[in-house]
Amino acid sequence: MSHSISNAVRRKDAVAKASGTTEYLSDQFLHSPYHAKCFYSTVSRGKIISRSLPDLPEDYYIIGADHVPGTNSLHMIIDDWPVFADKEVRYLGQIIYLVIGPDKEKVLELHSRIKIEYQELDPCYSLEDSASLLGGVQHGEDNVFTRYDIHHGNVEDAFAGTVKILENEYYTGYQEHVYMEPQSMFAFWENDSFVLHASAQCPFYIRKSLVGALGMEPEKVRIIQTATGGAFGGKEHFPDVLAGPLAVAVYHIRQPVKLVLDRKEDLAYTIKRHPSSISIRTAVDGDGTILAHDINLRLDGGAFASCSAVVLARAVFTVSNVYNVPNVRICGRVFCTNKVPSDAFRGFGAPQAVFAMESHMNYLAYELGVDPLAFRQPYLLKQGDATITEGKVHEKVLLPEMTERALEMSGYKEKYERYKNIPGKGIGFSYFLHGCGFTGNGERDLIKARIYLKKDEQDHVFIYASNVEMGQGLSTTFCKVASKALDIPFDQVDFVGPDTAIVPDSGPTVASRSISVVGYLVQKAAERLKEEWVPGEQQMITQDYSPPEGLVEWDQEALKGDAYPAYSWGVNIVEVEVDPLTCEVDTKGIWGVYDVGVPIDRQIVEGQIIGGMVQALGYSHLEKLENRDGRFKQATMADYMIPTSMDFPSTEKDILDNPFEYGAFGAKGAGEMVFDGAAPAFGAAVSQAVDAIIDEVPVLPETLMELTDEGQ
Amino acid sequence: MKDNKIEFTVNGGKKVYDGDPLRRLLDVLREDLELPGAKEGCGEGECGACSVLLDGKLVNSCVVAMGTIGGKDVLTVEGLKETEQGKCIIEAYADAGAVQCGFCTPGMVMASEAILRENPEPDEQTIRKGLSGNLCRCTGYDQIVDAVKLASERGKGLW
Amino acid sequence: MVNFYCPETLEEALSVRSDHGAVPLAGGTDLMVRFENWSSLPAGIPGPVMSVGQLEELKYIREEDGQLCIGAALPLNQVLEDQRIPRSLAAALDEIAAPSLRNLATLAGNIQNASPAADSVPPLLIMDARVRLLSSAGSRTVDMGDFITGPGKTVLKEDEIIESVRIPMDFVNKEAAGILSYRKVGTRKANALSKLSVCFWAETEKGVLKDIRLALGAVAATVVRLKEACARPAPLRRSACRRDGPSCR
Ligand SMILES: Cc1cc2nc3c(=O)[nH]c(=O)nc-3n(C[C@H](O)[C@H](O)[C@H](O)COP(=O)(O)OP(=O)(O)OC[C@H]3O[C@@H](n4cnc5c(N)ncnc54)[C@H](O)[C@@H]3O)c2cc1C
Ligand code: FES
Ligand code: FES
Repeated sequence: MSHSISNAVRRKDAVAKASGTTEYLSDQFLHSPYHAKCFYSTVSRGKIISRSLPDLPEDYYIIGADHVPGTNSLHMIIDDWPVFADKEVRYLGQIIYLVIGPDKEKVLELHSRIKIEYQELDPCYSLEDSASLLGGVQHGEDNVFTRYDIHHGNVEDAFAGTVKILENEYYTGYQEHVYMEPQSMFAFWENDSFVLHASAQCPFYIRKSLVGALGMEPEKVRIIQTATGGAFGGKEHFPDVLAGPLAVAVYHIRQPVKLVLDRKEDLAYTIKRHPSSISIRTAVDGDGTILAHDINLRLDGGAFASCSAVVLARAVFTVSNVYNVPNVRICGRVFCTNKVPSDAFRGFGAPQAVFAMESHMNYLAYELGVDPLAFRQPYLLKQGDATITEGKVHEKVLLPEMTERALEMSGYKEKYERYKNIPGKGIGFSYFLHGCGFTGNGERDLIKARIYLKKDEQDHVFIYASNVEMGQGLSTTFCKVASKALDIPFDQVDFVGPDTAIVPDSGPTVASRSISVVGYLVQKAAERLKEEWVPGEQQMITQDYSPPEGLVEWDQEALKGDAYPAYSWGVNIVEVEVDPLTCEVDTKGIWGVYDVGVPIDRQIVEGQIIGGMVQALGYSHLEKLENRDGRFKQATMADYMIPTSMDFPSTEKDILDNPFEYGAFGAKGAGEMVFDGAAPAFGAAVSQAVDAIIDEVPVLPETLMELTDEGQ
Repeated sequence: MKDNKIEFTVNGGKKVYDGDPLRRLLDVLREDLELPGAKEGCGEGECGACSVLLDGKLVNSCVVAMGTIGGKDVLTVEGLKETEQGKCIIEAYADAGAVQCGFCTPGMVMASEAILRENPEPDEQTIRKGLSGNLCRCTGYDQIVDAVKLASERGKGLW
Repeated sequence: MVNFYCPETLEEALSVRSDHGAVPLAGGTDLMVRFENWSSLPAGIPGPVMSVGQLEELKYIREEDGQLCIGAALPLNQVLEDQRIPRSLAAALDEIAAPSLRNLATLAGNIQNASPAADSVPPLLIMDARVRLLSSAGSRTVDMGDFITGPGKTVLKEDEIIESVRIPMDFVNKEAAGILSYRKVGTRKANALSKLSVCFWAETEKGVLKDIRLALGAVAATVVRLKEACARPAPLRRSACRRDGPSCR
């Protein structure tokens, strides 16, 4: 069944963007009276023992920890990340000063004359360094930012009666967002308020992080989102880290200042996707049936916590993936190291977890000598099944239909058989799921989303929410939802760009929650407005979040209940050819079948699918990002390689309908889930092509060469 | 000889520049001429967000020194969007769903114009090759390729 | 502000070069990137600079003295599109960066940059190309193999400029009759620096490979031509060229 809301409309922002008239931050503030340059720590871990600053000419400033009017910390989930490094530095790239002035050349000259002397301490670069408390503890008592334990069923008993134990460990690397627009902001003082324009995902997060540092009331801190040139999680919390120093500077000098990172700075010093190391021990009985998984999931959090706890939560709740296994134990931890902090990135822990479990399922099938696809079937989750957090799968699960469709589109079965006899060719498969919205009771207890609909005298309707348009099409899909519910033309509805002084807090633009959770509020508000509609009059509707009914109550202490109200589901198939000489991997085919509830706009969802797929295939084998002694080796975009138009063939895709009762017109999330499945499908394909287990991404030609050498 | 006055045209209009010859064309377009359609995505010739046409050829304006463009003709997206060809490409981008965050898009539109000028009916491979210096992190490119095809179909006779 | 010169003629350019030691700036794809500054500030190229891209006398391709001469200021795309140039060179140039960059970058810039990964160098080496250098004092022609002396180092003198790159017509004429293979390995399929490049060419005579020429890029401090490895004629076996990737034949 196809829903009329899925029919594509022309995006509200498309023509202006394509014509170059949309103003991103640097366009809106082409000229600025003052420019800021960050001064970064050059060591990974150390005490600052002396500082030498140049004499400042009039109108030039060097702003640091001493200038912070409130507390020297940015409030994210915890308060560990200082606005400016003060007595110690925890990673290479931590901001110590902001150098500010009207003339860029002069700013650079002053910048080059700052001298910091450090007493260096032993830095932790690996999970093992961190666990062994190398150089002394840095966070809590054990360097673990967050630990989550889950125990579903009884793993000990299951292992006790086991015929076979199969164990393997899976690694995923760093990934850099490379949003095409680097981090950008512009701030000034107006009356008695601080005003910040920023390329950002979460204006209210920025405000929250600043009020303590500035010692000001939230109402006096105004954040306005500018057109955002890509974000992918990279502009979720990191803008706080730049906004903090900038706010302190503007607080003192009361002048407008622009802070835009160069691409090189952005690559070197902004947050990345968490590297992971996930080991899975599996108990199997005599028939080859999986009895239990015992999972040790570790993430490298970098120097400060940021939102690692939330990333960990999603990784832990996702790692059992689409399978119903009766006994599962998970120990999940994020460790503190002395590297650039890891943070949100599309998928938010799920891609790492899905890669591990899907690769592990292939490994089990291989060890048991069975077909990997057939092996998975008995475990696929079904409606009514329990989840590992003792919640429930409430929705109908379409995985069988999706599998069939994907097999048919790709010719998987025939190719899989044929490639067994053709070295260098392979085809791989993956299943995945992605919970919609915040984890657990986050939506109800933490976010408490609120939106407004306002109608003017011309009967034009405006949507007020704090979720941002960052390319994913929200300004279009929100308007589609409202216009459909109101039964008025699409052009009669507009989305108001987020500005904390104007819009209510409907929460951050993360976790695939915007359409499924906030879009639903837009629909409910629009339905109310329709009932109360008085032509030619100003009207306003306020809509607050209320949780879906029938959920298993979430207990945050015990981590029990429904971790998510609903899931989006996917199947990916990737076909590759590996060059026998160079071990370069050529992707020959890409297929994806998805359940996103109801797509609010088919074309937009397809754009998410293709974009997520290509980004994830980059993660799978092109985007090598190595940290050596606290510094990323790939310093420019010539070194860190994101996919070009030539790297992958077109993605063939299909979307099945499966309306979600509490999503806008049946919608579930789509933006992140589309990233989750490519790496394991790619790994499986390469695995068949080279006849070796792939347990790590990115899959590099160098690694494959070693593997094939070993094999020979 | 050593003459620091540089005359060139931008979108058909004559310009004279007498600043530092080692400034980048990108900065002069944006800051001096207030034409912010070309964006800075990398500043190192990698991403193509700064693409413009220089004497009809696609170039990365972030690596072009002002001192080297005397007598040359620059076309930016601000100029292109006023032409029939430009309108056709922009509409095709909008209809094909080729625009997401949009930061790469003006550069992509310039690259599309360059592709179509060279070959009004390009096949998929020609299009992908023509776009290979323009990075997009959002779309995965398929819909951009579709947009160029669509522009080529709709704009028969324009190039 | 550095002194910047924009000479109109080659003669003028040579005197600017000898009088002021000005650094030639062609496409700028190396220089402008290497000396990239904070946006809106001029590139930080030290010392005087001289634009050479406008010199019409350096924008030509013609046959001269039994050589195919490629003028120093011609952008790579124009070289690439010329039907007369050897296909080994075309294959290599076609994989340098992306179209937009190739509209700026020049062959002279690529060889003077002397990167071990400079993609034009392997084919130029196997075809025994030569580099013509000019100064106010005169001209000299250097073998490609002698021109590059180390990473980023060439024999170019302070007062010289590269006038052209010259390929023996002998090679140009017989290239098509031989077996040619060019292969570039980068991290991705386009717009990537070489991790390895191989340029191979050989004549065949009655099933035997003779005059085997092989050069490798990005494997050592400079591009290397493997002369010893090619010293003996080799019987042509099927397996020898089974996996030679996108062959240019
Ligand atoms: C994004 C990007 C991708 C790239 N990809 C590749 C690639 O895939 N393969 C590859 O090989 N290269 C690549 N390069 C490098 C570069 O494009 C080439 O080396 C280019 O050919 C240099 O030419 P140019 O005219 O731009 O040189 P310029 O930057 O103008 O000059 C380079 C050097 O040559 C000197 N020079 C220039 N002309 C003359 C002359 N007539 N006489 C004497 N000296 C002269 C200059 O003084 C300078 O030292 C890439 C560069 C970038 C920015
Ligand atoms: S900004 Fe010029 S290529 Fe990226
Ligand atoms: S649309 Fe965002 S980078 Fe292309």
